[in-house]
Amino acid sequence: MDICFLTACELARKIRDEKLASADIFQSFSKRVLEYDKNINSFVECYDKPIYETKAGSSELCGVPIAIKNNICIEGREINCCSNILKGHVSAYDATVIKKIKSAGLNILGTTNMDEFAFGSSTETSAYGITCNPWDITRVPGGSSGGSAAAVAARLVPFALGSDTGGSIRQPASFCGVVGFKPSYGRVSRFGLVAFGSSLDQIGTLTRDFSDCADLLNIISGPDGFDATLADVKVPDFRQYLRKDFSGLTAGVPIEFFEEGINPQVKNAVEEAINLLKDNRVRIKPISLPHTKYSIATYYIIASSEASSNLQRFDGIRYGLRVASNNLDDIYKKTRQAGFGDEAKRRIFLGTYSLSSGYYDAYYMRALKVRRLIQEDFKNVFDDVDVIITPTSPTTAFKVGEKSDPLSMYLSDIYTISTNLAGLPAVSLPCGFDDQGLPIGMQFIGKSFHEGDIIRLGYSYQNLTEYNRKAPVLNYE
Amino acid sequence: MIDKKQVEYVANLAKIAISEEQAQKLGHQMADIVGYIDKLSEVDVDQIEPLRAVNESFNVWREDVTKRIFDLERIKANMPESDGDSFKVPNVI
Repeated sequence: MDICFLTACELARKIRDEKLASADIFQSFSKRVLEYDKNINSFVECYDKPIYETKAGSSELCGVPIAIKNNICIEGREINCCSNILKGHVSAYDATVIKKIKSAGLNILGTTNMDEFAFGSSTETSAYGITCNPWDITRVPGGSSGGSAAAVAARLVPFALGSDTGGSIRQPASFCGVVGFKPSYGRVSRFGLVAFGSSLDQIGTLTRDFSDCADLLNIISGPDGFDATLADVKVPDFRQYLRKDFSGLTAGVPIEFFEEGINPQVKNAVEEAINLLKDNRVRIKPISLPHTKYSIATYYIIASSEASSNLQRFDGIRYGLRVASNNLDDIYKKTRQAGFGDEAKRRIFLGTYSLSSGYYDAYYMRALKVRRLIQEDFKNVFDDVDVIITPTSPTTAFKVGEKSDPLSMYLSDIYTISTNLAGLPAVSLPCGFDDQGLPIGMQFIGKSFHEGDIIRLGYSYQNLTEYNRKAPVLNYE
Repeated sequence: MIDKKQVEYVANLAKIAISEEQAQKLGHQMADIVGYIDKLSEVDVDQIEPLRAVNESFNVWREDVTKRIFDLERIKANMPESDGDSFKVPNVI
């Protein structure tokens, strides 16, 4: 199964050099999923053959397989956000990113598991069961893009798409030892991404290195005429940032991200990484993001409020589950009762409560104001630094079932959440392993629409280290 | 404290039926979460404008021209109940 250990760029080169055929590559990965995914459960559906024709030479990555998180619409395929309320829903159209990857000649291998409607940080709330971390199957892969992250880590697919609203690409990337990239808000079209928090969601990439990341970002980014929140900003060729060059970069390290609550091994690994960058002439500066401690509260009010609005459409009328009744109000209430899981219900409740009369000003409006303060914290520090370096998560992968209290799950998002509130690009990349052999992730945050800086820093760092080249051993007997 | 009446009120707004037991459990969990998010009341937001959109984009216009982007057959295939062409629902009036 050597083919499955090649990166997307390596596979693409072999296809162009006619050393490998894309159909054979597809089969190799399909077989590997069949053999190993029963212990991981990263895929919801894995296709046994390509679902459409691709044209040779369509792009640099032509012929390479990719996995898609189960909340991105693929025409003619079941897309249900791993929720019972959408079971059986077959998408009527392709998301923009799907149209783009089809035009680029990539082969969709299948759809990946996720927390229901992307509500979660552990991939424990899916209607298709939990996904396990391939490094230790008693632990979570993170979430909500846990299926995508686990599949890439386990080399079941070279790369995958995920979505990130509060850290849902970066945190699972950190837990699974892969590169998880969230572009700036407004860089990638959300048309065809089932909406969770419309002012926060972004589609992004799960890859093993920055070369694959840059190529995939090139494919999925840019305007499409369907997403009014796309920024009118030119998309650069992200490959120009793939150079071993630390020069001219100043990195800020926020004091608030290294205080209480962080696992000492995580802290050490990130500090070591920062020292390595310092040795390579990156200027390191301590900075402060004073409103960090309010970011979780701000996020959960805004995200839940937007989610409660976005999930009103799941009402048993036009698609998905309907619990029959001769009364319309009952159809809504009983369908949504039966179709949504507990976490989805909690988010909808919190959002509805925050937006309801009497609480709207105290919660929702106030959260929007604090959001501006959080965004301003970043704007202020970005006058002096080019990138910000933080741990991705306070811990490594926790055990399945460990965070049964919803609030403790929410609190673990502390390092990723403020970047979504501010709309900034950010990436998690592996920077070490703990004494249990679990991956540790560090995060680079860039200025708005300056993905290039964090791609360059990440690429340069990965040329000095081997962490992203380690793979979990999938022998679970 | 989120009492049972409040939980039922929110459940009705959110159009989700819940049992007594679920209402109680949800009430406790919501109380914890709301207790936590109450910390936002510490922040001085006087004179601060709410941030509604991170890129502060303005109205994005397009020509008022219809575009058929969905295959109608695919829409129909997803209908939970239909008469072939229309969604079927109970009487609303």
